[in-house]
Amino acid sequence: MPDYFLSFVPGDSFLHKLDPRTKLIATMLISILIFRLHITGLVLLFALFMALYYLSSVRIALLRNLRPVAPFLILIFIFQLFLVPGNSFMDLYGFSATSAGFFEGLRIVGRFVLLIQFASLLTATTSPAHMTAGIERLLRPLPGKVLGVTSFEIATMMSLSIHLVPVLNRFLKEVYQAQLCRGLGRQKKLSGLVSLAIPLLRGAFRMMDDIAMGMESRCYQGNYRTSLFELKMNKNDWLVLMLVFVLLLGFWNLNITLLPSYQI
Amino acid sequence: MIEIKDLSFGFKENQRVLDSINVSIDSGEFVAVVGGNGSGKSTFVRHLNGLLLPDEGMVKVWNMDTRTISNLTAIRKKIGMVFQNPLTQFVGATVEEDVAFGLENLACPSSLIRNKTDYSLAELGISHLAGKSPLQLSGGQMQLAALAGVLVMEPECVIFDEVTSMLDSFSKQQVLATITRLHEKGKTIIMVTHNLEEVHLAGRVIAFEKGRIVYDGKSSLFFDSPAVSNPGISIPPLTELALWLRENGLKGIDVSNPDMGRLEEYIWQLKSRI
Amino acid sequence: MHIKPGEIVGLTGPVGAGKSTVLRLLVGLLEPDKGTVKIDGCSSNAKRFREMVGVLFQHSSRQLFEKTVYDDIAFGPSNFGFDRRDIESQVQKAVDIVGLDESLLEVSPFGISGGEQKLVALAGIIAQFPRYMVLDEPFAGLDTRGKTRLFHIIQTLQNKGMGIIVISHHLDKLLEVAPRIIYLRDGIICFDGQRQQYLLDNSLPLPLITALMKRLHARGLPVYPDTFTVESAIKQLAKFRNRRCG
Repeated sequence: MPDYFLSFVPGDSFLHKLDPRTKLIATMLISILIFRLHITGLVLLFALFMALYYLSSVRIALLRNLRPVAPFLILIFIFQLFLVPGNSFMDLYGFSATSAGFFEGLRIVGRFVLLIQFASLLTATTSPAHMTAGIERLLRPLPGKVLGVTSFEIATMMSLSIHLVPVLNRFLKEVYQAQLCRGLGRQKKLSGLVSLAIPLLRGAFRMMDDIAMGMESRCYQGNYRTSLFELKMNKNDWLVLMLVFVLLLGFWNLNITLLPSYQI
Repeated sequence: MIEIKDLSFGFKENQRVLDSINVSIDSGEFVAVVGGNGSGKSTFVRHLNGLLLPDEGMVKVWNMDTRTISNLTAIRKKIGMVFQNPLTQFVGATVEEDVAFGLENLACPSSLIRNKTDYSLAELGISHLAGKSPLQLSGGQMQLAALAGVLVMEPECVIFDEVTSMLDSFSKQQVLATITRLHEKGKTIIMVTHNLEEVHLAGRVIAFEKGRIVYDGKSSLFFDSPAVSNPGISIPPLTELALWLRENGLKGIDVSNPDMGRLEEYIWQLKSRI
Repeated sequence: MHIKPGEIVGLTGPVGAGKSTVLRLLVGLLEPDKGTVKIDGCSSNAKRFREMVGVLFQHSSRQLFEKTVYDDIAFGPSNFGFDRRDIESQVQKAVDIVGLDESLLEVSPFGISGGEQKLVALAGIIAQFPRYMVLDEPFAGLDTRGKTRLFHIIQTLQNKGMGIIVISHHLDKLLEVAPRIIYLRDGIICFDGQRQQYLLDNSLPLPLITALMKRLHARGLPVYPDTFTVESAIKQLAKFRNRRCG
């Protein structure tokens, strides 16, 4: 089980072997689709998700992924339930819960849940290195000269931040412990927080200086560079992309034809 | 190979960290750069691969001037550098990604990067660490991984900037043995250190004090020079004893790397002569 | 293990032996799974616990966080709720003990040298006047001058009745400063006793000088096998020379 929200689980499944570009594009297309669909469509997509989930052979904690956003989802649902006008089926302190509100809430919450689950499937089956390589290749057609930043720089920034988060975390812990030992939290709470931020920033900047020096001495220039991970689209990749396109086109107007009554 | 003429440098105005340095280093040498805290030794080596550029004077590497920006990539390909803090020289999330970094910058094709990365890791005996995150490694393993990331670019010269100062004695020996082996294979080695027990590994010592070179010569003669009386330099205990013994009549002892068995024999003879 | 006030204890052992775990237990950053850590009868979950132990971490630059050196040294005492004048006098005392240059007080602690940072961090702890102090690898990165100064500070603190634990793998320096040595291996105390006994125990790692003197002693030479400083070794060997000359 992954330690963090949206973390990578090493494996050797069909999904792991797909090119990161395929997975990124497919996830994007499915996300677009998710925002087009209503409840029936979402249920069908959920079935698709479960199928992929078993295909991926990673056992990500489905419910735990939702925990960080759960309060917002509940709040959104309650808002929709009471604020959408329609046939009331329950009255609470002058607010009436409507069936239209109920379905509308379900639809919005369902969208978010599905988005998160598909995203976690993407991150669980794609290592950060492959992900950055994939994003770099997808962004390469962008005019780097005009934007002032090349796809290579973006990719390096991404992989550096992925690598540095745990390093900074360890550093922060050291500073915090040192402060605890000097009586932090006994008197003035707020100044403690400020004095935690200053050394963290200082430390981060100094660390960046060192890292930049190490990068420079290994010939980093920010322009064209290759990757250890060779990206290659094979038959499966094209097949998956085609299927996702078919799915997108086929489902595009699904709700209107199947269940018009839920439309408000 | 490395030519330095009248090099002066200061981070701030009116403050000279390096003052008119003149040195040349030949291919295949093993040089130890020593000195106390703030003597300028780290600043010095950072000029060798163009991380710092001279305020005055010039640094030439294989006849390429470091002040010409277009030379820098070629210079850094020839001179690799390993730093003191293992954690802040990592740029990859795993060891193999980190080792590959330099070759990626040189735009090598993927398959070649893969081969060279694997070879470099195997050469240092750390293939089993390829997929690990640097946070999972011990200090010694990290330094070996960092070295793999430098060797993968096949430099002719490697600079080690106090690489053993944060390691325990076991990892220290391991890293030092690797450095010695590299030198035997023909690489030029420049090793910055404040531990004088390490200087006997090198053939030549350059000692810094207040931004100036106070000794530049054979490592075996270093402890005889007035440079060792500088406050920033601490003489290893056995060397101190060996120096004392020599003052008192012992001839032919290697004070830069005193062997315990030989010291013992000598003291024993001293005793039996009474 | 028991540590008395006014005692200097050297804690050593190979990497991963549990030295830093002991450090964290002593300052209350970790709670024991079993057993207790008590300081002057105070157990580790008490609020006063952390007040009683000051700690100098290995990377002392990460212990510094305020805008000026003065504020940094005052950080501890002001957290413990002393009033302004007390804080001032405590900072002054701490600065005197470590022998810090007064001109440094107004500059940023991040702009000074590594050796000076160590002294500032040390002064910051001393300003809290804890009963006990833990120094983690205090010799790392110090040159000869810095080391002599540190020895002097440790002696001063001991004379004030502070209990000091020095954690280090620099055996010769540790032996020089601490009369009592604790050797940890794989989380178990392998040795706890006076430094003379430590030096006589052959199963423990020894400084090079001691190893040499032991060899000579074993061959019947009248030298002390528990010698660990070069000065003392030279003094003993000088006797032979004098005898020969005379």
